[in-house]
Amino acid sequence: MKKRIYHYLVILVAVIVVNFLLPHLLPGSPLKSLVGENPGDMTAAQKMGILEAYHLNDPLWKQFLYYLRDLFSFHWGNSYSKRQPVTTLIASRMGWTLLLAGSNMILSTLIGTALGAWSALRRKEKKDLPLIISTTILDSIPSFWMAVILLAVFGVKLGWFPIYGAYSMWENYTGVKRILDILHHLALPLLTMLVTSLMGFFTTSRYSVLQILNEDYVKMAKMRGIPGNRVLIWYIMRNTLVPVFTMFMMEAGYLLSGSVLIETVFSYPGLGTLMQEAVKARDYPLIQYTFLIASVMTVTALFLADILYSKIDPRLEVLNDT
Amino acid sequence: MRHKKLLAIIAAGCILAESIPVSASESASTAEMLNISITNDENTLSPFTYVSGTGLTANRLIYDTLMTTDTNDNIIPWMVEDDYEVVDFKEYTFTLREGQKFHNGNPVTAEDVKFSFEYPSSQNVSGQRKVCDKIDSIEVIGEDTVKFILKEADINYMRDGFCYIRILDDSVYEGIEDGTTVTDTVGSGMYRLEEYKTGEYYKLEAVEDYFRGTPKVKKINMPVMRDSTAIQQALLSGDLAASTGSIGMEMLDTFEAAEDMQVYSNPGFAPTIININNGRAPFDNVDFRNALAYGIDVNAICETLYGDHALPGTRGAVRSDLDYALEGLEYVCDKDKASELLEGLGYTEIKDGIRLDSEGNPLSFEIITYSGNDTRSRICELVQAQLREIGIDIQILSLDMDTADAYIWPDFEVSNGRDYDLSTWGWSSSNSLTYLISLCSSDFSVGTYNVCGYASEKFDSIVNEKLSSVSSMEEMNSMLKELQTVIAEEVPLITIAYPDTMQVCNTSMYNGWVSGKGMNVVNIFSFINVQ
Repeated sequence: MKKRIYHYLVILVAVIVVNFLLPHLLPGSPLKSLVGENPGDMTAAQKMGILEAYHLNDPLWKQFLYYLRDLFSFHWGNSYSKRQPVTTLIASRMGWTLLLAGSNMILSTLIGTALGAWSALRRKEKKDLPLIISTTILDSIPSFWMAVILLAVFGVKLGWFPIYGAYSMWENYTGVKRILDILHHLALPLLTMLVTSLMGFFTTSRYSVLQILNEDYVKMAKMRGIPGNRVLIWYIMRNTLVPVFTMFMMEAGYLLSGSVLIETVFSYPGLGTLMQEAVKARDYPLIQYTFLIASVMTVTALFLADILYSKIDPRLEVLNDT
Repeated sequence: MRHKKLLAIIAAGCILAESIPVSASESASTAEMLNISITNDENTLSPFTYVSGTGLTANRLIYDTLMTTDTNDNIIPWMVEDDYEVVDFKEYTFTLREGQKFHNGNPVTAEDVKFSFEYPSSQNVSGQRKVCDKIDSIEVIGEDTVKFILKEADINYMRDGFCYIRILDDSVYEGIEDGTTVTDTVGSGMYRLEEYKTGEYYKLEAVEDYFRGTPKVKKINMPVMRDSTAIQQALLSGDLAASTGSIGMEMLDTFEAAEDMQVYSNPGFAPTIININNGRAPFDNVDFRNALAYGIDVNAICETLYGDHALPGTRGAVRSDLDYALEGLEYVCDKDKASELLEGLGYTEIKDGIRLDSEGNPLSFEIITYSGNDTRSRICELVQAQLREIGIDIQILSLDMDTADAYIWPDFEVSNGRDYDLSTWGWSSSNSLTYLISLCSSDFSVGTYNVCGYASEKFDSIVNEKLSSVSSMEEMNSMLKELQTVIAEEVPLITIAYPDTMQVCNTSMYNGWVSGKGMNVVNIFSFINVQ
């Protein structure tokens, strides 16, 4: 266990270094964000003065030290482009992304796994073919295109769902009304994400079940006359958990950054769009800390997965020990 | 349980019913509330926090300027009386109109005006700082009169300065070192900022006792919407009455056919350009640049991409319908002439359809373009095909905006040099009288937009000899015509077109939309009858 913790600490250090370096290695300058629409109107000396004020002319190692100081003292500073504290910006967006991506993760895991298992169990009846074809087609559609189609059909043509925002911005709903309003706005972006992310869980679950169906212990359980449902739940689905869980934890790593395009199309005020805007504006503090949080989240998810594997399947613990 | 479900359905139904888009008022000449999307989050919309031209558009509804431009792009007094005084384009004296107040209730005074033109000089705000640094002194004469004395005569200051600088309440910014830290957006414009939610929306409320009259729309909600497809869908569905963004040519037919939709197509001042790196061989040769100009069929590209919705560029590099535009500088596509020029330069040998230089290398160059801009990518493809006909190979390099800018305009400082052959480009406007000088002067303190690295003795000597002594519009126009002649001969860049600005508004919700030359439909004249 200690060894694993060391591994993850090394990864974390690498993440911190890379998150500092990435924005600095990007071509382009944050000057436009710092001085407004016409940076060309400033004299060279004025531009230089501004870069100096933000330590952007200092050697990279010096800037790295400033970054470390700010990171560990939790003084993450102000965004160059948004003129607001980075922490405030991240906090205001994270909830919406967690709601959207988290709901998608749970639903896509449940639905995808169930469909995958059902498809595997029905393989001999050839009833699974339409399901395989339709999930494959849906998976091949780019998420932004799917978003536009759903928006045009359900938002504009049928008018069933709102087409922008995470809630009715011009109303002051409270209580149940507020919750329903949020869910109403969540519907289309969530549906888009769901449709485009089902395939991973579907195939993982399907092929796991297909594999397990041929295992001797499953055949033996059936021969012993154990009821079908019991075999399905305790002998098949339980053993399908490991690959599905791996998939789930991998998805968890992308929780904060996986919905950029969908957030943009639906004007959903999440962290994905914030990250995208930060990169476009070469907003170094905002890039560094949003990506850092997303990276830390990925590392944490992997770490948790490592710990939980042995709880789900004790055989893995034995394997690790040997 | 059933009751709970029923309640939930009823509540959802209520929300659906309440979410129905803003309905039109009876006459639609006024409106209670309009939803107008803004295509970017522009922070608090103050003069020190907005980040792009979109922000400037919205900011103008909240902040006033001494002068403004009307729908014909003429400069007219706005906050000041008509009898303002101008002496030699160096001294300007204005008297404020009566009854002007900031949104916090403070009256607008001459001291506020003085402060508004002094404060930006200490701030990290590009455009405003440049304008304010041109002022030598500002004298307050009484409560409502103010006199500006510039360091040098500047015939363009009416547009660049007095139409641009927003008037601030000095009590809000006084003593504050960094203007970006001020979170109160207090202007004296026709709308006050009621609420701003980062990355989500702005709510504007009309100032009932605005000195120019009561705005016709009481509330404007501005959701931040970046995706153009989503904006177009929201316009079609009636969720939006308008947008600060433009529509693409491909959507024109859809909107023209849609009920209650009005397309506003107005002459635009933002040119689409092909930059030529004048400092890099063989582009440093005038004949070679001329060969490019003859080889590229500018008029055909303009027609193909924009149809009737753009003015083709000319060799003079300004809109051909401006007062000072020189006639007869239209691009002429002449492949024979282009070939003749190339052969004159020694590019006679041809291999696989591409000319070879003296060392046997093919004439192959890169053109940089923004990856997200379909129109410019199409321009590159057309240029590629056309130049191939005269034996020049073009490779298209599609880069994200900041990466492209880093090659073309590193650190937004032309004296830092440049690293490209050709690039597609655009400026937000070209109607300033100093546009040509900014674009082509080799004195980089003046030629701040000279991203082509053009250096011409002829051009510079005209600017040096005449600019500081210009004392009338006639003299200015005459000088600008001379500059166009030089540019037309030496071809530092190729202006493809001036695309019209095309915007869509829903006229059933509100029909007071006003648009004009180079003007966004979200402008002060759309919401007020000027008295």
